[in-house]
Amino acid sequence: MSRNPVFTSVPQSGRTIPRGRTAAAIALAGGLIASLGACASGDTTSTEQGPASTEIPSDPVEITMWTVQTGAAQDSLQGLIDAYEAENPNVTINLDYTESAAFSSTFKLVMSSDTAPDIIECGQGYTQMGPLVQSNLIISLEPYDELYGWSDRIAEGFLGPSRMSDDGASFGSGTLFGLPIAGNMIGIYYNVEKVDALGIDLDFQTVDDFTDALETAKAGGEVPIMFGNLDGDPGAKAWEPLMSAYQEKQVKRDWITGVEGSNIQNPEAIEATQQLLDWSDAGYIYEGAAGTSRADGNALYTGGEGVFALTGSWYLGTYTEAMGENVGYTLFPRVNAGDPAQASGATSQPWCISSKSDYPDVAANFLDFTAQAENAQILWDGGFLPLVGAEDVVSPNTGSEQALEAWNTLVEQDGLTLHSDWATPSMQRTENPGLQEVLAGRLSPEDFLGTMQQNWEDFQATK
Amino acid sequence: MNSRTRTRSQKSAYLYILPALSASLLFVGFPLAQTMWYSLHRWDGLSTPIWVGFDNYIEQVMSPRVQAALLHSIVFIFFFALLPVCIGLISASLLSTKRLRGLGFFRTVLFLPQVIALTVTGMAWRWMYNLNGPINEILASIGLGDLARPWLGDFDWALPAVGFVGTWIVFGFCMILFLSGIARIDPGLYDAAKIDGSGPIQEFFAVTLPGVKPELGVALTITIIGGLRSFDIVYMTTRGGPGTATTVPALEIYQQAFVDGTVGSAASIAVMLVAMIMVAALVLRRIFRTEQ
Repeated sequence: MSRNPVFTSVPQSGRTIPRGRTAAAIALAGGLIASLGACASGDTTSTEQGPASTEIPSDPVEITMWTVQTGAAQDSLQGLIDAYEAENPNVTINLDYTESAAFSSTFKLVMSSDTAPDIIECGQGYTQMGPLVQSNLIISLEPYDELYGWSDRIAEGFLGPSRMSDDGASFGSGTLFGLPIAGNMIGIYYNVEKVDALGIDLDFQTVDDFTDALETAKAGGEVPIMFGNLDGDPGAKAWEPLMSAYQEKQVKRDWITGVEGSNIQNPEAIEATQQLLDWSDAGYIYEGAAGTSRADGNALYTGGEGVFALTGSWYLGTYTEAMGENVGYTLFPRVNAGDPAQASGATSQPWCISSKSDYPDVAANFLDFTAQAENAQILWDGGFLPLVGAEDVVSPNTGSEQALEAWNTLVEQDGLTLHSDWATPSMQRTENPGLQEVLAGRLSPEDFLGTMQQNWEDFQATK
Repeated sequence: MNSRTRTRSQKSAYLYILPALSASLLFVGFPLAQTMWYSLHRWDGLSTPIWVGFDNYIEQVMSPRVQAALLHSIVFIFFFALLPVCIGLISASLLSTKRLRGLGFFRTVLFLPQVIALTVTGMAWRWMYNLNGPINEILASIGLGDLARPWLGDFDWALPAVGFVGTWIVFGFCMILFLSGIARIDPGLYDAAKIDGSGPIQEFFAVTLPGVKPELGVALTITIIGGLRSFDIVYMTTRGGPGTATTVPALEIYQQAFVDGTVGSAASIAVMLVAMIMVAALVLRRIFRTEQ
């Protein structure tokens, strides 16, 4: 890509750059640069934009940030905004919220309108980020990365999925289009009282250890794994840990990012899927799962039915709020004892900046603020697993503490394997109903993975 | 009246339909033409559409998923139209044979499903069909516990289960329609039928059914169209699952356009659905045309 001229000098280290605090002192220059940036943003090529700057204007500035987060997560975004506004009194950031399904169906229209929000939460890959990159509706963050040193602060493993080719046709490497500030992972939640009563040893070294625990739970008259699969995705979330346990991480990642020659219909993936089916056949999964909604399944679990739940860290807040100290968290084991930890997980949706924004510098300055180690606590309070500064945050309860520990282990061992349904825009609609068929014994694991591979190949052919 | 004034008055009559016609062209005709145009392109909703001719149509007609959706919508004609119309007819004629105390109350109660927001209905039925829900509990209490199952998650039963929710919603509307139709029938006809010695069943076929023919036409037209384009009930109960057991064309359109981001192919299903609905409406009009 063509690098743009940067008016302010780029210091040696990203950490020494003057931030919002010193903005007042250099206001005039900043204002000038920001307005130049705004003039130049009318360019039509995707990666060309106005000269980026770390300085923000001192005049009153109002920008909008668009999110799909709810509850505690939304509160923590507001917390970040409040903290930023306290440091930069002339900046007002409005947090707009849209429910996730409605967001998916409207974001293209909204982002191409003249009143597009300045900062948008934008899923990695081909479904959301891809079309926005392709239509030049979001800007390259490379100049800001250079100024703020994000890639020095945030591991490449985290930034990679927010990179795309400039035409939006491939993801996983290339130009940085979004800044992720938090992460997620799928693991094991357990009901502390039940595990104690059943005498289950939680030190799972292998998948077989976990299967033994399921048998113990079943023999003890409990529901071993609880979820409601009427909506289709909870079954996929229970399948993901097995996919990460059996496959090598790079194999799983390559297939998701679309590396040529990848194939999900491989022996390890077939074994993983067969394991889920075996659990189901052995009665380890809640018998009413197929007809129970996602929300009802969660309500049953937090209400005390079910020993384990295999799902994402995004339920940490919901579960700990309802169960207090009665819920614990641990990583899902690998097939062979001693293999490095792996879990399906990724950064949560990165933040992108609209190409129609009048204040991209302010937006970038705020994004930088959210990715500061000292703000990690605000993120964690809202259930976001921070990418920077996760070692120093304080957890509100044991379950959260265990999750954070698991997270730090994964990050340390570079064990996040992404989510399979990212592979193509329609993969979710192939994967979720397909797994429902597998669990009902109507589709073999091999054929199921074959339909996923077919979808993958069809999509790669149209790129 | 001479023919000249008649012609003039007919010409000026077109002026009267102009406002309605232009609104309809603007808000129905134009979007429809636009959808047809999109259906001939490969388009993600944002970037430049690529002309593909009729490829979308061929692809969608060949897709097992779309075929399943079309088949389900035909099953839904039974549950959303035929069944509620039959139940509505029977209950309306029963309610109007005898002077029933509290008729207004029953009418209101039976019409209620039509009034409740569909999201609420969907949530309620999700719970009704749950493994621990009332339907399975009733089955268990009458000794049919073996039949208990998570209805909406069962590959064989999910489609009829969702269809029955449609029946439950629509039949009250049919009944009210038929009640008003029956009220219009000359009571003398019933007396005449009685004198001729017909029982209640003969009376129904000889007097009631022909008497409500216009209402029958309206009810079938509205409910069949409703069945073909059903979306909300499926979306609120099963989202098309388990597998693709309850997917319908409208859901497929929604998912292709807004989840997969393939607006062109979604538009092609939409055009086919509109064509199906228009054919159905024309056939029904033919059958129920009232001879003046």
